[in-house]
Amino acid sequence: MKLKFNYRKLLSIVAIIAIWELLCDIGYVNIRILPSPYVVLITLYHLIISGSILFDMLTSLWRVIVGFLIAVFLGIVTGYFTATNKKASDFLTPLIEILRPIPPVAFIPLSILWFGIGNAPAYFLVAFGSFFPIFTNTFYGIKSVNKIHIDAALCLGASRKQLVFDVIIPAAMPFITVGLKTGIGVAWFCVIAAELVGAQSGLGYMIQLNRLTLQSENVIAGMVMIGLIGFLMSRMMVFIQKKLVPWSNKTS
Amino acid sequence: MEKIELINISKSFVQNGNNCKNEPLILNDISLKINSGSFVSILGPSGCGKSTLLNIIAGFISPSKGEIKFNGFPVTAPNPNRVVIFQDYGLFDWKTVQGNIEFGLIAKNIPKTERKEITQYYIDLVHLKGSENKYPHELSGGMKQRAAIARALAIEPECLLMDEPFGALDSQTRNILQDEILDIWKKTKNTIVSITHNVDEAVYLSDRIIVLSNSPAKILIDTNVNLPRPRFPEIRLQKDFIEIYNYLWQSLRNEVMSNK
Ligand SMILES: Nc1ncnc2c1ncn2[C@@H]1O[C@H](COP(=O)(O)OP(=O)(O)OP(=O)(O)O)[C@@H](O)[C@H]1O
Ligand SMILES: [Mg+2]
Repeated sequence: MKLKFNYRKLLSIVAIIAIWELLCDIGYVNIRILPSPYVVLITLYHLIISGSILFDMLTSLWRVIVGFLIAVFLGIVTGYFTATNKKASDFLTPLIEILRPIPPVAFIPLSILWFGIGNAPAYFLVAFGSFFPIFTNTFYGIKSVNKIHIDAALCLGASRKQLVFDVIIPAAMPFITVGLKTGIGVAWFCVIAAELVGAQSGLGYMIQLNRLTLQSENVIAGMVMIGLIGFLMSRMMVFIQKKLVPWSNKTS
Repeated sequence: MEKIELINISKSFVQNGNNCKNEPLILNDISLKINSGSFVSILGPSGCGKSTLLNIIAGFISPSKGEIKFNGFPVTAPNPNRVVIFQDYGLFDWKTVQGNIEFGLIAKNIPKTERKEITQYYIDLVHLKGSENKYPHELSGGMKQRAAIARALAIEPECLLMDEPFGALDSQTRNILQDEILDIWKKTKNTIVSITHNVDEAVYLSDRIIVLSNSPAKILIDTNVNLPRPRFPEIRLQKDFIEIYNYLWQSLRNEVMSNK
């Protein structure tokens, strides 16, 4: 495959950075609250060299991974049971629907009360936030499994295990991966939000701390990092999706 | 010896769980014995209940009244001794041709090396060599149906149940697959029940043809096809073939028209 990059796609970004730089250079803005892109870049470079921002990044990533994996497990398991079992559905659906409209950030105060400061409230918030898209997509994925596939499996003598793991789950996988993609975005959002108030490390904490010490170049450098990681994570989910759903590269 | 026995089968679908007695009857008192090793086709007007009948034989649904026996034992659930080949193939989109065929072998706990050998044998048998690692969406309709046939045959069922297996294919591919299924049947000697809209196909393939009436379906015609085997495409031009074809075609046409 030949990589053709459309440079026009960079235009808006380059333009805004140029204007920003210009405004800083002609002294039109207060560089104490809006340092120039160049300064931000240098700051980011130093933060990376010294390793401090990498440490914060790894901390945030770890929290996302743990919380997200909890959500993947709970989301798929509850999605499976509510989709296949009427009693489980009657039992769980009202609870899930009552919790769903509460924005995850509204749980920050409680989660600090319950879990203190540190990793635990972040795990909780990330898991809570990313649970819903994973659950919902798993639920609809399993609901939409074609009956013909179940029948085919049964008349081929499928065991219960084969039916679940070789038929139902893979048949629902195109939906589940959509849930995972949405979920990872929510998870990243949640971890940063959690760290703004409920942690003493991580990228969210880092930008909050630097606001207090009025080092706005560090704040922006942190934000750049947050954006970059978020972008890379959603890219990685596209990759994982292709691995998990190799059969639906095109239509089926 | 009879392989399949239907005794006074009736079927109506209970809707919305309320079991009032005025649900429309789909199958009306069907009794039928199918001999081991025979090729039986079922013809009938669209929507008359052919698939319903096949699903009952497969064990996917149970009759409202009557009894169904396989090898003399009551049918209560699907079983790998009767495998269904579906009109729209029913292949697992998430598995390659190889994976699809292996599915039933894994269910039978056949060890890996043997599994590969069996799979390869059936891939060759249905002329899918070279497509082992393709996913269903990468196959043509004819290749999909070949894969579905290989998947069904690989577990060596006593009986193949085919629901308009070639209905979605162009007539060229359809004719080729008809000859292939006859070849395969000659080797495997299993019992085949095939549903079709296509009178020509029914006459060409079968030992015996059942024609169902409009809904609620009962058996309208039950006739043997005494054409010699092996059959070959030119048989379609012979007098005997044309005679039985015309008889069935007229009967079916009259039945369809009587509904209007
Ligand atoms: N699960 C079901 N619930 C309710 N009604 C059903 C169900 N399955 C089939 N029917 C009805 O039973 C009748 C017969 O359907 P069936 O699919 O057996 O017909 P068919 O002869 O196979 O038709 P076709 O030639 O179009 O394949 C139809 O009127 C259909 O609406
Ligand atoms: Mg049908």
